[in-house]
Amino acid sequence: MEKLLRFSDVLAWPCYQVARLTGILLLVLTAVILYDVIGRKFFATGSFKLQELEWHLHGAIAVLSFGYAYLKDAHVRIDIISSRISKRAKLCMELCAIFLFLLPFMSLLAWSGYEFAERSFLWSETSNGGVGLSNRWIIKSVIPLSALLTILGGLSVALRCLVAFKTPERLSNPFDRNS
Amino acid sequence: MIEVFVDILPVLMFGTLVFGLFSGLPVAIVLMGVSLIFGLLAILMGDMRVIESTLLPNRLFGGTIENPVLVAAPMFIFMGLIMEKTRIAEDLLNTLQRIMCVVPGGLAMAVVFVGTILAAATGIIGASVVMLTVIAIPTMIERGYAPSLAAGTVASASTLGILIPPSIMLIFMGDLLSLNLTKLFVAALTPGLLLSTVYVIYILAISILKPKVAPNTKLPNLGNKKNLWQQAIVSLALPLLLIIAVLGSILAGFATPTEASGVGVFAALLLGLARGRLSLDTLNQAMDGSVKTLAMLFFIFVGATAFSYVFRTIGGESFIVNSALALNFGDWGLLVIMMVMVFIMGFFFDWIEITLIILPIFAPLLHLMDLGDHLAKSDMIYWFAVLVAVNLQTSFLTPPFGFALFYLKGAAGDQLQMSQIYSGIIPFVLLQVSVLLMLVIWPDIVLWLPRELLK
Repeated sequence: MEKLLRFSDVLAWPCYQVARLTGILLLVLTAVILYDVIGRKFFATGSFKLQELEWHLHGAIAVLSFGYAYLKDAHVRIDIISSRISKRAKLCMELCAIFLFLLPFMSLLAWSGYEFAERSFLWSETSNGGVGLSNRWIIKSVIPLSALLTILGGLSVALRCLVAFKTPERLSNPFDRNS
Repeated sequence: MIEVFVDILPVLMFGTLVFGLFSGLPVAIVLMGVSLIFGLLAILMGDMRVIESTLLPNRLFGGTIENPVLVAAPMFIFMGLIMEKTRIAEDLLNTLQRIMCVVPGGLAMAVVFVGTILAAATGIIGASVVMLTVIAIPTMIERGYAPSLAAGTVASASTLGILIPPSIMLIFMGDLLSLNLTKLFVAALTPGLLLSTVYVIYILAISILKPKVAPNTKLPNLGNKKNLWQQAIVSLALPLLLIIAVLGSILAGFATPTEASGVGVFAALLLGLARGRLSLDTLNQAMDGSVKTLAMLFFIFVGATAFSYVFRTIGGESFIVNSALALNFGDWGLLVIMMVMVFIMGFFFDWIEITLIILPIFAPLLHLMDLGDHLAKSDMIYWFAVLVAVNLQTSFLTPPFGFALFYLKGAAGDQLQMSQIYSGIIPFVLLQVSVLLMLVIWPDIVLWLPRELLK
């Protein structure tokens, strides 16, 4: 059981690190917008590239922390009826959902997302019209990366569910509640 | 046999989703699972080709990432969390209550006022109800306010955030219905202010008619006058200025919502810093909270993208349009049906699920709808979006299921009985319904300001 928990922590580690980075990206995005606004309003500098950078950052922020949020149980649930279901049944359902829904979906996304980014890399795609940022494959890679991190987070939660199911006295809640 | 099955496939898919949502599993994962199951069925029956399933990254990239409109969402959420964690919001309410306690019902009015201007503070209904409950309910009850009035005020004021710009819900709605975000914000402003005005009038009226429910007492430790004014400037004027500047620059067309959101975050950081409340720890909390909220939002976005793609492929869209036409209720009937559906769903779901799952399903109907002389067709979707927002807010407040009421009870604990919450909220629900009817009857309440402001 301890081994499973330790392995679960290993899987969760990248999710935590990337989530922290995502938080910092929020500050970076703020700085970029500020720079863009000041430049445009007061110095009449063109900012097409900056605006493109803004949605690049937004895109990375939007998709890179799914796994982390799952580990923290931050994804919304409708628990009107399920509060009457036993704890063990809930853990079972969670495990089924991870293996039947989350992992296949994210594997599909990781695989097709990889091809999506690879195509962009091979064609050395740039922004439409060529006035924006080059190397579009970088931002496109966040999709497979996001899927990969979600798979790690999902597996980590699954292991903790398993431990909570087998030895409830060791782990009563598979999620990391302290924030 | 197979033919019948194909025909009702969209119904089955939607039914499976609703059933799955109540399982208590994360909404996003349920959406993904339902999409997988029905995508597989569609492939088996030849409605969808395998290769189509690999288009998901394209759709995600176009819908979520390469989407300049949505950039404002993470920034406004971040701004709100900074204001919450540096306790700017709390100070604002406390100071306002001190100043307004001389007016009948002043404490309650201060709550409405704060709810209105802090609408941006949290995009998520549950979170804003909890925040306002924690900072407002104890003072009001301590000052002898009737618990029912306190509960009604807090619940309705804190749900104003889904309507009053910069509402995160409006950002998503504008994106899903391809609307001009600035125009949508402007359109939502008058109805939002109308609602808070109506609340204030009601509170004033009831406090004068029944002084017992809102006793007019002075707060203790008021300090000297000079102190009060100093406090008023620091904790009232500055945040107010921030919000007015952010909103004003959008509404005046000086800045795009994205620009205003970035500047808003910066100003909120400065404000926190100036008050000595912005430690590294607070900043970390605000970042962590924003990251979690955003991941939650966009995870559903991913699931909903897959869901609506499969739903459309198996003929869901034409199914909806055809059945709506077959019902033959006319355009007004259709509007009523959509509103009733949104209202009922508001009992169980937050706006996130409703907007992301239902709006794409409604969208084709909206484009078909024609209310003739009642309002111009080009304005109709803006009007509809505002109606949905007010409708949802009403639904969140309506007993016995009202979504906001549960959060209120949860955050207030033993201070409020459920029965007090129910009786307190009813007058506010009636106010909501009357405003909703006014908006339906006079669409100009919604459309006048954008017409004048954005020529």
